Amino acid sequence: MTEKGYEFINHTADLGILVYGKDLKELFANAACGLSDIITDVSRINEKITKEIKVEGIDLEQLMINWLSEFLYYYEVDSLIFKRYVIIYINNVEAEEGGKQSFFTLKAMVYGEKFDLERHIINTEIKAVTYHQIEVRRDNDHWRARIIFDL
Amino acid sequence: MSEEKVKLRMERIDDYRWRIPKEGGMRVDGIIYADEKMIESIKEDQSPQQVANVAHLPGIVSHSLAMPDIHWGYGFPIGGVAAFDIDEGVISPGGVGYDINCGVRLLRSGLKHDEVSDKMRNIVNTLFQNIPTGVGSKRKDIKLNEKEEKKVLKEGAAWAVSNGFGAKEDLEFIEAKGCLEGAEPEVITSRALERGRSQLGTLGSGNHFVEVGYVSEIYDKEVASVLGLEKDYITVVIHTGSRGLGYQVCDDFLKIMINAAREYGIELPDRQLCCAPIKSEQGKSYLSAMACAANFAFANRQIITHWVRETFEDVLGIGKNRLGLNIVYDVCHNIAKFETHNIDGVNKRLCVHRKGATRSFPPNHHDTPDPYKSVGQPVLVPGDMGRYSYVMVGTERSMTETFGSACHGAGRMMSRHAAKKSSKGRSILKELEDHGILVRATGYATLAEEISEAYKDVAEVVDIVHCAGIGKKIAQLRPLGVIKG
Repeated sequence: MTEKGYEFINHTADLGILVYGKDLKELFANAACGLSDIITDVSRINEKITKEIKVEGIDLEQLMINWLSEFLYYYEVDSLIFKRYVIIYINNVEAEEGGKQSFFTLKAMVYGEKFDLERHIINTEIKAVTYHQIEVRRDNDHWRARIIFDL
Repeated sequence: MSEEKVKLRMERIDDYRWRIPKEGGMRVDGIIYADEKMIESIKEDQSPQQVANVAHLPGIVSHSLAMPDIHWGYGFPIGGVAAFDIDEGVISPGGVGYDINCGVRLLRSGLKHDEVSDKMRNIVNTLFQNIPTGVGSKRKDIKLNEKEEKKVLKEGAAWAVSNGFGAKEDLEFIEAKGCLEGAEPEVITSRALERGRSQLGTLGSGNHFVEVGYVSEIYDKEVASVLGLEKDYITVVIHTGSRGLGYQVCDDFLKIMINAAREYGIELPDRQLCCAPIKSEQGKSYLSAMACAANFAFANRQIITHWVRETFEDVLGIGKNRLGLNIVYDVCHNIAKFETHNIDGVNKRLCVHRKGATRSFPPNHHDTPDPYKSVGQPVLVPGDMGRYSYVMVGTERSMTETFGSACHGAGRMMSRHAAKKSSKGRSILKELEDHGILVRATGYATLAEEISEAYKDVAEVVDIVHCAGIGKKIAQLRPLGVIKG
């Protein structure tokens, strides 16, 4: 298991990450770290802004896609880049009798700042988080994930 | 989903076509356009299996097709063409792509190569200043509120023209005249709208670019002259799409379609082929959203065209007429279109998905612009950053065999990581400059990923299209200066 909690994997046109975490919260935090690492040089980010993120998904895979997609959205629309991710909870909401099916929710606090052309470097822009070979699963005593990004 | 390397059967039809015979859940055969050399490298990746997977979808007509620039994609392969019966068939966002209406526009000019070669650095720098490429870079003259943005989504390139970007005469030289019908902005989520608002009038990064070049070869003088192309004259290629708005629309609808496929009992060999019947609520919603995103991209290319014209006027101190930066054509290469095609003697209305493929209509076709009716619709095929691009025209044979479709570009061959590794220690910028190509980019890291070796040779792709008769080679363009995100 790598110290960073993730490693890059190659695909012809795009890029992916294999992520590890001792629990689900660490897995999701590491996945977000991997994403920032693709986009920019994270060492140059200061923690000036805090944001609360809340996402949902019908399963853990969709939750992961929606979680990581939040950062693409904030990057494009508000020019925000993040460095640290603290997952407050990941909960499974039970299905309702004759109603909504079960789903997962996630809440996190994330720390970063507004992108500054003078100080920050863009490595690669990511178009989308794809469903391709997506995986979020438990493996013995830890958790693993694989996510492929469309560049 | 397991990743088994199933041995696919492939048979040679002729020098340029390979059949994947129908088996298992496939409803039709697959056909890949390639020559003997290229089919070997194609067999190395998962793309032939993807061609076979597409053949599983309900209502698919004739064959699941792929052009010679085929490579692995999300669900559908890049270079894939698949047409569906409008009553029995489905619409699939994966058959269009994340970057809805990513496309290419070619401008010709009245300038000769030697008139501008000593001003190239200035032109490239000014283009880089005038055309925002990505995050944080925006021009103050595009300020959209939601109401105005919805007009962009409904009207496409015409919105841009009404707002001072270019002229009415430009519209005829754009596929679908720069506006797809049926665009209802109500189906666009607020998140997609927000992403769009912040990015209208930006180029994007990755393999998006604006490239100044010149006509280096003419293969058919008569046709070239009808297209307004002459050897040594300056050209400009603009390659970009619907930016974050398109990606968000695709994302939003993939989720809807995964549920829809289940609802309609559609069996998917790959979740990313998720789809819904064309006539279903979900199908109609997606088509409307896709049209909105496509119109956004048409408007984007129109706006950027205006800034290209302004740049040349400013740097060279030449007026619009003398400059003659007129549109040769503007084509989509990620889209689904409703078209009439002759299937076994009957004219049928079909929904043609082209993902990394270009429409290639013949002479005298109703949708081929009037000035080009004698020669066919221009097909623009950009190569990689350091090499050449091509202009072709559509043919009758492409109507018969590929629903009027041809290739779109070079197709990636090497992963970004491998490309970066291969670039280590090299100054790609200097290498390009040594070849007479000036580059300005926001992220120089992507330059390493865009090296020529990472791509198929577009000349080979174009030759296969030409020899297969689904497009006719007309001209070659070579780059002089490029701006990228």
